[in-house]
Amino acid sequence: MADDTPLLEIDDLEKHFEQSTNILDLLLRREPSKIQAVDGVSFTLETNDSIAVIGESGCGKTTLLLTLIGLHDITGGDVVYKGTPMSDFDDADWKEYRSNVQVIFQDPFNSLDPKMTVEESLKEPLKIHDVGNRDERVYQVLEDVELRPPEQYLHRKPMNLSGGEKQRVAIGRALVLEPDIILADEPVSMLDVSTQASVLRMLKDLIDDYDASMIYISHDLSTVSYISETVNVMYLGRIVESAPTEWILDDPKHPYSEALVSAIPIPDPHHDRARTEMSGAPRDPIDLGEGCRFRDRCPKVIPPDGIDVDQEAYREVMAFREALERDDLPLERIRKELDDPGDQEAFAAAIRGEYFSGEMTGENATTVDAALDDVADGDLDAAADRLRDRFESVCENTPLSVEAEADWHVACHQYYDHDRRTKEDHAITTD
Amino acid sequence: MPARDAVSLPNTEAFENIADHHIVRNFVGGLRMMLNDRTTAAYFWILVGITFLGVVGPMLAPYGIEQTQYSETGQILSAAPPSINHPLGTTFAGYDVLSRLLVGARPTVITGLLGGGLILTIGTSIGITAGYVGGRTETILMRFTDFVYGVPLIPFGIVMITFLGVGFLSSILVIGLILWRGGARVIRAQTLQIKQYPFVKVAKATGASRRRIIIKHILPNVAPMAIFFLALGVGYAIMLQASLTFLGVASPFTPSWGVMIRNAFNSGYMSQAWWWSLTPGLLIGITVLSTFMFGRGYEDLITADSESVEADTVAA
Amino acid sequence: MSRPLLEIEDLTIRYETDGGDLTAVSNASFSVDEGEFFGLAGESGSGKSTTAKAIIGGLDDNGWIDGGTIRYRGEEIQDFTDKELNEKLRWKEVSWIPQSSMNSLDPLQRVSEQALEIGRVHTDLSNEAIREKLKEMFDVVGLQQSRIDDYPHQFSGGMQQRAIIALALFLEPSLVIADEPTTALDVIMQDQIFKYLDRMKDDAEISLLLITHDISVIFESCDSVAIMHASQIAERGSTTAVHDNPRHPYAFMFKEAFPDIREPSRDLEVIEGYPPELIGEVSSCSFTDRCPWAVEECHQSAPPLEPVGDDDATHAASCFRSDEAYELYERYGATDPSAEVEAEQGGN
Repeated sequence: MADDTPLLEIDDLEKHFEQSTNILDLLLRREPSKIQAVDGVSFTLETNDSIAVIGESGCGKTTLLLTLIGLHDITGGDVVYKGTPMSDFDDADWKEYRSNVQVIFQDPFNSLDPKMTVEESLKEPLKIHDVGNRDERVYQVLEDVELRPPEQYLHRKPMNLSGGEKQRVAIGRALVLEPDIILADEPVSMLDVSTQASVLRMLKDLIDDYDASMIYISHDLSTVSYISETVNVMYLGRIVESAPTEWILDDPKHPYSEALVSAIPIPDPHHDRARTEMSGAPRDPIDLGEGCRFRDRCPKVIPPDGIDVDQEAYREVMAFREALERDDLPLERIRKELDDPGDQEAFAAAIRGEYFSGEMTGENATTVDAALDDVADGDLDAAADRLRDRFESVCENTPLSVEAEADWHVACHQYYDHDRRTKEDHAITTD
Repeated sequence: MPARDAVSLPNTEAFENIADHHIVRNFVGGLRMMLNDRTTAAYFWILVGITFLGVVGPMLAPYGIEQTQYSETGQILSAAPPSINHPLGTTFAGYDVLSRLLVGARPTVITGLLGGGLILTIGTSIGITAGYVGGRTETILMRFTDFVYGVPLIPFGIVMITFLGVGFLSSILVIGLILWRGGARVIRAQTLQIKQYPFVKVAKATGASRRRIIIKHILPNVAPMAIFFLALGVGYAIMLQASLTFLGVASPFTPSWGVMIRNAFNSGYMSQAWWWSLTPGLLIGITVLSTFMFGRGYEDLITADSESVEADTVAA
Repeated sequence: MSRPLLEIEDLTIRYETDGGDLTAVSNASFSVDEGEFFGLAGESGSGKSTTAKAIIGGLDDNGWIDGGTIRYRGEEIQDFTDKELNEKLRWKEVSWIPQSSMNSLDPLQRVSEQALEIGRVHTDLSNEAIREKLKEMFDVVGLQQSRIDDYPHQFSGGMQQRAIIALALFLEPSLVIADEPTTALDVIMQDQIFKYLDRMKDDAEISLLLITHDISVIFESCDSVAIMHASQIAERGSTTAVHDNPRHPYAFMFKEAFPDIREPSRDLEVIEGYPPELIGEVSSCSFTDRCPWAVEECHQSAPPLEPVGDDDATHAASCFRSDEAYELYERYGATDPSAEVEAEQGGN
C-alpha cells in the first residue's frame, strides 16, 4: 500500500431506499419512489484524523454511518478502505474491515446486551476475530476507559452500570480490537452534562492513544469542537459545507450552516441572540431534483438575473411553486371553504391568501396572478410552466458539486456565481 | 466468512462456554429472582412436587394398578368409597385409585415436558428464524404459521392420530405439531425488536456470524418469552392430552390422569363414584394452573425488569 | 410588589420504593411571578420533573407530598383532589407541555377533537369558540390554521410538538409548565418553538415554568432560574445574578460544564460522581460527595437556602461556603489545594 493512500475514502457515496410498494403500485407499474437518504457524499479520512458529520435528524447521517459499517448495501459511489473499494471486498477483506472499523452508538442503554456481563461484551469482538490474550486485553481496555479497578466491573451487567459507565464500556468494546477507525454516532448526547465532557475528553484522548481515526456523527455543533478538527454539515443527504470546526462556528458560509450555528443557544443572559428566521422542517428526501436541497427554506435563495423582486416575496413564490410542482396544494380544502365553491375568482384569491402576503408589483405580480388563474381553472401544468419561466432560480436547476477552495467547501451558488460575486470576495480568512 | 467463523476451533470452545454459563447463568438468575415472589414460588414448588411424583410415584404406589382389590369378605371392591386401606377409594373394576393416581403422574409429566418441549423448540426456531432472517423466509414461515392457526385443534388431532396410530407418544406429537403457533408469532415479534437494538448492530459490524448473533444475543433475550411459552405449552399439552384421551383417541392403556377420567365416564359410574374422577381432574387442574401461573409470574418479572430499564432511559 | 403567581415553599416529596422512602424533593422553595419565565434546571435525578408534576397533581402513584406548600394565586393547592384540580386549575389556569409529543397526542383523534374535549371539560365555551381559539394558536406557533383537523400522524415530530404547545396554550392559561419541551428536537426547531413562546410572553403575558437539563436554554430564555441537585435547590435567583455571581459549587460547575460556541476550546467542567439516592430525611448537602470544597459541616446538616449577594432580592444559595466557593473556583479551579487545608481546619 502506498503511503499516500488515504485510510478511508468516501467517494460520491449514495444510499437510496426504495419506498415500500403495495400491490396497486405493482399493478399500475408505478416506479417506486426513491428515498435519497445519502446522495453523493464524498470526503476523505486520513490516519489520525477526526472528522465530524453534523446535521439535523433526517439528514441522512445515521444512514451514512450504517452504510460505512457495511450494514446497508451501497447503491452508488463507493467506500475505499486503504485502497480497496468496498464493492470489491472479498470475505477476507470484510473480515479485516470489520475488525478495523468499530462503531459506538448513541444510546448507552441499548448498546450493551442486557444479558451479558461487561467482560463478555468486551470479549466478544476478541472471540469473533480470534484474538488471544483476552483477559489482559479486557483488563487493559477497562483501565483505559477509566473503569477502575477493572475487577469491580468485569462481572457487572448493564443494569448495574450508570449511563456514563455503559458508554465507557461501549467505547471500550470499540477499542478492544485496536481498530484504525472509530465511527461514533452521538456517543454523549444521552448522557448527563456533568459526565458528557469527561466521556468526550476520554474518547478523544483514546483515539490518539490507540492511533485511530474517527468519524464523529452528531446533531450538536456545540460540542463538536472538542472532538473534531473538521466538520461536514449535512442537509438532506448531501454535504453542504465542509471546513475546520472553528471556521464554521465563527463564520458559517452556507445559509443552512448559518441557520444551524445561529440557532445554538448561548449560555449567557447578557447575550442577545436573534431567534431563527427559518420556518418549517426539512422535507422528505424524495424526488429532490438537481438543485440545492435547501432552496425551499433558504433565506438567501437567488432570484433569476434581471428580475427585481423582494427576497421575502421571492421565497413565497418559491414555496408556492414547490407545492404546485409536487401537487401538494390543498385545493380541495380551499374550495370547500369558499362561500360559493363555483366562484373562480374567489378561489384564486383564496389560494393567494394562503401562500402570498401580497408584497409584489409589476410583471412579477401579473405572472403570479395569471398562474393563480390557471390553478383555479385546474391547469396546474400551465401554472407551473408560467412560474418557472419567470422565476426559476439557479438554485433549483443547476447541480452544484461541493466546490473546493483551500480547506473550505461550500455547496452554494452564492459563493460561485461570478455574475453576482467573485470568489475573491469570500477569500478565506483564518484568525 | 460466517461459515469459517463457525467451524474454527476457538468458537467451538466459545460454544461450550455458552452452555457453561451464559444461558445457564441467565436462567438460574431469572429463576432466583422469580422465587423471590412468594406466589410464583408456591406454583414453582407445586410443579416441582408434581414432577417429583412423576419420577417416584410408581414406586410409592401401595398396590399394582391392575390389581383387583377385595374386601375382607372377599368381594371385589367395585367403586368403593374412600376408606383407610384405600384413601381415595377404588374404581369400578376394583383398582386402587391412589395407586393409579401415583402411577398416572408419570405419563402426565412426560406429556407436559415432551409436549411443552416440542412447542418450545418448534415455536422458537420458527419465530427466531422468521424474525432474524426476514425476507422470503419470513413470509413463507409466517404464512405457514397463519395456516396452522387455521387448523381446528381437536378434529385435526383425531385425524392425525388415526393416521399415526393411536398411542401415547403420537398424541403428544400431534399436540406439539399444532400448539407451537402462538409462541412462533410472539417470538418472531420479539426477535424483530431485539434485532433493531444497537448491541446487535454493533455485533454485526464487528463481524459476528449470524449463528453467533442468534445464539449469543437473540436467544438469551427472547428466553424469558420462550420460557413463558414453555410454561403455557406444558399446561396446554397436558390439558389437550386429557381431552384427546377423554375422546378416546389416545392410548387408553397408558394410565394417565386423563385416562382415569375417561374410564370413570365410560363405566357409567361417574356420578356415584365421584372419588374416581375427582382427584385426577383436580390434579390436572392444579398442574395446568400452576404452569400458567408460573409462566405469568415470569412474564410479570420480565416486564417489570424492562420497565425499570425504560425508566432509566427516560430519566437520563 | 404584587403577589407571585406560583409559590413553592419548603416542598418535600417522597416516593415509596423497595429500599425505603426515597426523597425526590427536599425543602424546595421558589416562586414564579406573573409574566415571568422561570427555569428549573438540573441533571437526571435532581427532582426537577417531580416538582413540576406535583404542581399539577401528576405525581406517580407511589409518590406523595410530605411537607411544604404549593400556592397558586395565594391559594394552597397541594391538597387539591383531582376533581378540584380539573375544575379550578388544569388547562385554563395551568397547562402542561410534556417532553415527548409522540405519546401525548391521541393518535386516533384529530387535534381539533382533542381541543374540543379539553375545552368541554374545563370551560363553558362553545365548540365554535374553541375551534377559533385553537386556530389562532396554530397561527401563533406557525402551523397552518387549516390543519387543526389533521390527525397527529400527519404532522412531523417538530410540528406535533408545536401542536401540543398550541393545545397547552389555546385556553390562555396563566402558567405553562413545560417539561423538557424541546429536548427531542433539533436546534433549529427548538429555536422556532422558543420564538413562539417568546411571542406568547409578549402578547399574552403567560408565565412559563421551564424544566430542562439545558442551562443554555434557560440563561437565554428565562428571567429566573433555580438549579437543583439531588432533591435540593442549590441556587436560585435571576438568570443574570446566577450567571454573573454564582455561589453554589454545583451551580457554577454545572454552568461551566456546558459548551459555549463563542469559546469552542474552553475546557468543559466535569462533575465527578453521581447524585446520591436519598432515603429518608436528608440531613446533609446532597452535593457533598461530589463537591471539591465540602467540609465537615456539609455532611452534618443540610445548608438552608439563604439569600446571597445584593444583586437581586431572590438570589439565594444553599451552601455553607457560598461566600468563598466561587472565588476559590475561579482562582484554583475545581481541584483546590487550599480547600483541603481548610477542610481539615473545619474538621478540627
